[in-house]
Amino acid sequence: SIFEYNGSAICAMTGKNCVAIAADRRFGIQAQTIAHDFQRIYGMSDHLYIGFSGLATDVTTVANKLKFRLNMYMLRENREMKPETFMAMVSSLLYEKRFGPYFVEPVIAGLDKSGKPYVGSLDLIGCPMVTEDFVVTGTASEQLYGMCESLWEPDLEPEDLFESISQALLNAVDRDCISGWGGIVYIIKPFLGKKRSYLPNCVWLLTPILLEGIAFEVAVSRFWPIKGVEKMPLERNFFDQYSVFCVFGSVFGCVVVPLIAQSIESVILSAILISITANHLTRRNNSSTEK
Amino acid sequence: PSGKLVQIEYALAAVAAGSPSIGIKVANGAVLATEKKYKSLLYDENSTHKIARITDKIGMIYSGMGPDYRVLLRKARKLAQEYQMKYQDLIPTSQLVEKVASVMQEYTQSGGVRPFGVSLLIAGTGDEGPYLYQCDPSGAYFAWKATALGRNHVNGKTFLEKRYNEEMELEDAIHTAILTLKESFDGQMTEDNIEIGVVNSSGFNRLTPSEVKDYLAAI
Repeated sequence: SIFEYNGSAICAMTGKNCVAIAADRRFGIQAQTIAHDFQRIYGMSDHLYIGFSGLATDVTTVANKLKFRLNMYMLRENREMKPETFMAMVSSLLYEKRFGPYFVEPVIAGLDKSGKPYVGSLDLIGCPMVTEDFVVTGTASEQLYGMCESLWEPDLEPEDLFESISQALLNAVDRDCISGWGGIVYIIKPFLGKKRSYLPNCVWLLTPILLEGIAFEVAVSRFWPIKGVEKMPLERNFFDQYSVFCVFGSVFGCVVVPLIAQSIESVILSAILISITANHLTRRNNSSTEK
Repeated sequence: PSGKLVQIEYALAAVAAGSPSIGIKVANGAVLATEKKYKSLLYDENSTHKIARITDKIGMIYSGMGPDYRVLLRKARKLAQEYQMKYQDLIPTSQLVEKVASVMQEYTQSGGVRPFGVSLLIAGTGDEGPYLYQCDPSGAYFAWKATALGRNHVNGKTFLEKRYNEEMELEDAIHTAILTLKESFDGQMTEDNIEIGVVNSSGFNRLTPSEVKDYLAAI
């Protein structure tokens, strides 16, 4: 059978606001394995993945043709394609070759704009099938049906979904001689937005400096430890005397602030400021021991 | 050389001599209206319609040559259905307009044909909200908030510039469309000599004569 020329195993499962799609990685020609890094799953867009079982040459060809059609759609319509629409497009592409078909059986996994999971599969002439739980395809499909039926349950979190789909794939391909040799799993979760600082980065850079300055001012005005002296002479090195407060200021400014800001610039600046403070502390200690 | 393509100029002249049509787009929908005057009392006004449905969500009206309009209408309907066949999804208004405009452009550059003697107003709604587009014989298309085509379109647009505001509701838009038509209307406006089409959140609908009569009574 033409579907058993290359061999393959692909499955897709839905979880709680996520989907997973997994495939084996064997590329073989009948009994001989040629490679174990064959790509069967193609990311068509951020939230739409399609995997193909069947003849390897048609896998790459159909994937490329689909990407072409999807790109044209996105350029024309200036929007992302919904999974249902994508399914219809795949179906249409395959049916165009009704009397000389592509020997592929695709599996689609995606999330629509609201984050709702979607899985579906098609046969070689484009008959669509959408399910609530999972879809399987390939030479190991019977084994995958058994594994998925046992391991799938509704509303799995991404981590648990990963475990389920991986075990389903691994154990199914172990009972099929022409699929296996590695596996790849894609977990698709909704895009929740970039982690952003609450303030622009430049403000985060200034904050440690500001806090150092405040700490110093506080020290100068209130915590003058030397009895009988009103104000510190300006010629002296400020850090030597009030390093405790400077350390406090810089530790607060340079450790807490980067944790909030999550930006590399504030971390670098913090490191510089802490090292300056440490340097002064060391010099102070050295100068006091000298005294 | 002036750079003018005279065949397109002639087509635009045919449009400017045609019966007036109005389109107004508001936040919750759009209105299309046109004058449908016949020369004799013997005409049966309600057997044919100018305002036409392309899909459940998109409607169309024209100014210019009726027969050319009907050709484009057929093409537009077929293009919409082809899209639906391929994507199992309703065609967005902007996509349909691009396809129709592309057809109109073809007829300005192919051998043995002449440009269409119509300007179309296409109004539709979808996920993106309501839209109103004009397609010209040259193949150019424009998105409008409100516009007038045909006879007296200059006055019509001036009137709309004064009367249109962004916060209008659909009911106000229908009222304004009727008033704009009235500006260029000689004689008495009745429910049989104008046609109104409305696009709202549920789709496109042509108003029946009795519904038109109610709106006319309100002016």
